[in-house]
Amino acid sequence: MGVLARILIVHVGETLVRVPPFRQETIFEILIEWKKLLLHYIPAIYSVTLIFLFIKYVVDYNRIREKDLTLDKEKAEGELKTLKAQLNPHFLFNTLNNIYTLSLVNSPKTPVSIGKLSEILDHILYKCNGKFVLLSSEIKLLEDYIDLEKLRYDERLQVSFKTNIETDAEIPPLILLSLVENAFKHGAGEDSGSPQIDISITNKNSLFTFEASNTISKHYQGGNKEAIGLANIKKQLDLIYQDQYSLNIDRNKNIFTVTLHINQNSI
Amino acid sequence: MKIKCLLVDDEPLAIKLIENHISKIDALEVVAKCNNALKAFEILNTQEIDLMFLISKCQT
Repeated sequence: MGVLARILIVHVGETLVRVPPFRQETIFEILIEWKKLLLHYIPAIYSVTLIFLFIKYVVDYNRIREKDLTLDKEKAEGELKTLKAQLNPHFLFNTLNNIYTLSLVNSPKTPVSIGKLSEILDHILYKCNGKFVLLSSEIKLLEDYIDLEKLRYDERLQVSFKTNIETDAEIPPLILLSLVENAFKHGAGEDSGSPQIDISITNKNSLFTFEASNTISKHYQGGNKEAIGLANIKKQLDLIYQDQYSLNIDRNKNIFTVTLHINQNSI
Repeated sequence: MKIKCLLVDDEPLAIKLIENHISKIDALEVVAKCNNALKAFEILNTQEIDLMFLISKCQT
């Protein structure tokens, strides 16, 4: 390579541009002057190659990083879809059964319940496609959900739902619903004593706080399922808020509490 | 002589539903209902029951 380059420069290039007279090395001289070749020509040629290699590397690296980022995003979206899919089957089945009974006994609650179920599906199917939804809209969802869940239980179940919203905020969709679902599933569904569920949401001074607590029955054995559900939620929040949130799970003897804080200044 | 039925379910709406279905069958009559197995046991010990409708997931 180096030899070829030097021969070309000396015998073609220099004859074209250099003003004669000048001394021209013969091909033989070029071949034996390996020191000059090694120190001047070869580095000159390879440095160009190296620069191009480096540029290619940087371009490739950027492309891979971009791909990683899209993958991460797609994963988060996929998880959100799972959250959405998790709600549907059980809740839908139970609620339809309840509404069926209500209609069979001509209960005045029938139309209201159908309306609420419809509102819930509207929210989940059409309003939760973005990264964020309005807090007020999610609260309405929770209210409808709680009302429908209450149909299943009699006066034994005590539910309180308090909100204190200074300004409306934007939050990731359906995360609160998962937490509330959990409270019902483990609090009311597995307890025939007198279960109690307390939920409170506040948004003050850019600090969003959600707290859900439910009593747990003496016979309750915590399974892995809820851990998976909570881990999913955590992953979601990690992607969106990094360290600007905290999700605490506390279980003492007979009360299970989940607390979520989000610093709204972070976005 | 009607068949005496006991209904056991922790969901009040489910009880209502079975009651509604039973009311359409002349041979059956609901004599007691409750929302857990312990109460069901008590009822079984105090009154005559021919048939029990018991939900499988009902808690004690």
